[in-house]
Amino acid sequence: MLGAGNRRVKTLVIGYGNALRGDDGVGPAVAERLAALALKDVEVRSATQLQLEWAAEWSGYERVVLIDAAVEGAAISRERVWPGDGGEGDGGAHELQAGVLVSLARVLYGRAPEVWRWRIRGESFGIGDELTPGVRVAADEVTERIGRSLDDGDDLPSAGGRRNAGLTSI
Amino acid sequence: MRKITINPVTRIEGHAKITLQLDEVGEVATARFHVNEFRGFEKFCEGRLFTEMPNITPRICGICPVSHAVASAKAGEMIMKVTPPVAGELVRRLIHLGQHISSHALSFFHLSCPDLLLGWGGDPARRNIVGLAAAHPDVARRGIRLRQFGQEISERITGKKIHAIGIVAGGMLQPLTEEAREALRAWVPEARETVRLGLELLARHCAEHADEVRDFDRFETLYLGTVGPEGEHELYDGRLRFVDARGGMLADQLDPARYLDWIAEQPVEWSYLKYPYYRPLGPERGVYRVGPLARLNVASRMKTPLAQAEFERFRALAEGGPVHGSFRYHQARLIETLGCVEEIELLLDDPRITSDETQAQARRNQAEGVGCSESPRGTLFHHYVTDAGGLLTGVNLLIATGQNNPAMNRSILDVARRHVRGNDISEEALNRVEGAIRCYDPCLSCSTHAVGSMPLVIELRNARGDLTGCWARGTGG
Repeated sequence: MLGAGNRRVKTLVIGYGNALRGDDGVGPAVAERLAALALKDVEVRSATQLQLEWAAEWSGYERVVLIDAAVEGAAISRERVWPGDGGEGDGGAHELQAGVLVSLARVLYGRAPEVWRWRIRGESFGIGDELTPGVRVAADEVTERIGRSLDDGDDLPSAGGRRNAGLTSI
Repeated sequence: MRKITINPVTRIEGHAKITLQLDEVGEVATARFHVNEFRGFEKFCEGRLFTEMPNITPRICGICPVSHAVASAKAGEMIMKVTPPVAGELVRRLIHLGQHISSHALSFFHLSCPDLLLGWGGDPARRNIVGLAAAHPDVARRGIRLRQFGQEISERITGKKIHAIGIVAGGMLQPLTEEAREALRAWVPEARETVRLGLELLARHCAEHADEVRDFDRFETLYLGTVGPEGEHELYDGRLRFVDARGGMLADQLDPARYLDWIAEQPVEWSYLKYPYYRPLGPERGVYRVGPLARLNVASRMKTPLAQAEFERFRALAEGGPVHGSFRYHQARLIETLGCVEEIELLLDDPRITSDETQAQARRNQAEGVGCSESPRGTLFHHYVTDAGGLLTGVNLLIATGQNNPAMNRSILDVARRHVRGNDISEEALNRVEGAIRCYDPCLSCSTHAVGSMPLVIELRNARGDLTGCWARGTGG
């Protein structure tokens, strides 16, 4: 991926959610598809939930791309995650909010990456390890869009325009 | 009658709700810790091969996946009638201790330290991990590093930080390499120092708030934990011990496979969590606790010197008997963490741990198996019944948060009665009620039972007993 000044941006991609809770597993499913693309300068991971210690790790990346399931909203959406977004961690689907990790990366380690989050609206969150058909299609589309963005050097487009293309540093 | 609901309870793993029921004069009459999350993994697992379970069950929970994998593997080994090779046991023990460190570090440094260092009356918008990081960055960073140590053990052995793939019935798929052993050794001094710092920090808080800590909540219960052959503290493998509220031995060296002889469960209408109790004493007198506090209350000694010294200080709080105050869960958690760091150092020094012989092979040799391990929150049981082809026909998971459920409700009631008075319900009082629950570090992501077996109904009744409100969740998956 190319950022400002045509240099490659070190990017971490994390798909998260519970793969045993139906469409909640769409994040890991997209991560798996993206990992198979073996994109240059892109590390891909999957997890059940965000982890506190990632705050340290994130401070070493310039960009983090998250993929998560959503209970409501648009079928596919993307947004920039800002420090403190989502509050302290309010008992939501994955407990620790991405905005908290951005805050911690800044406060504890001096710099935070630019963080983007893609959300795919799920249809069923019951016990089970399969995605519903509509979410499978959405997962393919998000994989293709993220993969293309990371591969051809385009910056990830934001719904509301890019507010800060570089590192968030203090 | 007035009902106060705290929803959700922040900084616990999973979803929860607390309801306080006030009587006509504004005193707290009842307290309930509701579990609204709905999992049903037991039903999900039925029909699968028992050998798949150590790979599936860690996904139940991102917090204590290794304990689930270990309990699951042990249940499988009982079905196969096989014992893992020494290296397999040592590596599993190592990864299990690492998980305890990670979980305890999160609980103490990041979930509880905001209460301890920022104050019970602190602004909830800042009394959290970000507020802690701003006010005490070194404490927050050290806590994160300690957690990284625990996670790195898992990652270096299995290649994964969270879901410990590699633990199987019969042992471990991967050995510990020499390179990994050396890398992990390098963490030990820093980890030990961080735990000592945590113990000092907690001791300072206890000294400065002695009355509060003493009165936090100290009701008496029974305790259950795993011990070694000589009654020593044990997290990975051993036999069960129950002690009573005075420290008297109720039962010792029990075979975990016979847990149903000693533990019974009753459903309650208002939660998906069941109410387990010590069967010989019945549901009223048989309330017991599990987890760090319980493990230190049942143990005769710790296995390592630094942890033993802290253990002696801990037990002196109750003149050698059980320590009942729930606040002391924090201290017990740190003592266990110190013991884990010491034991990890010993394991890494054991020349057998890097052997390539980590897995024994066998097929199904009997229908039923029970596996038990001490998860960070307490004793965990996996109980499987299989058909002739090894497919699961019955699964029972008895998890720690479920076993602590009766005691958690008693803790809430105890704290609420002292800090909640009619209309005078301060933010601080609500924080304390939440804090009482957090002592147990409950994790709800794996604590509910069979799909479709139990509706959740919340009723609101006035002082005359009239139903004034009702909320119900339907049955079925």
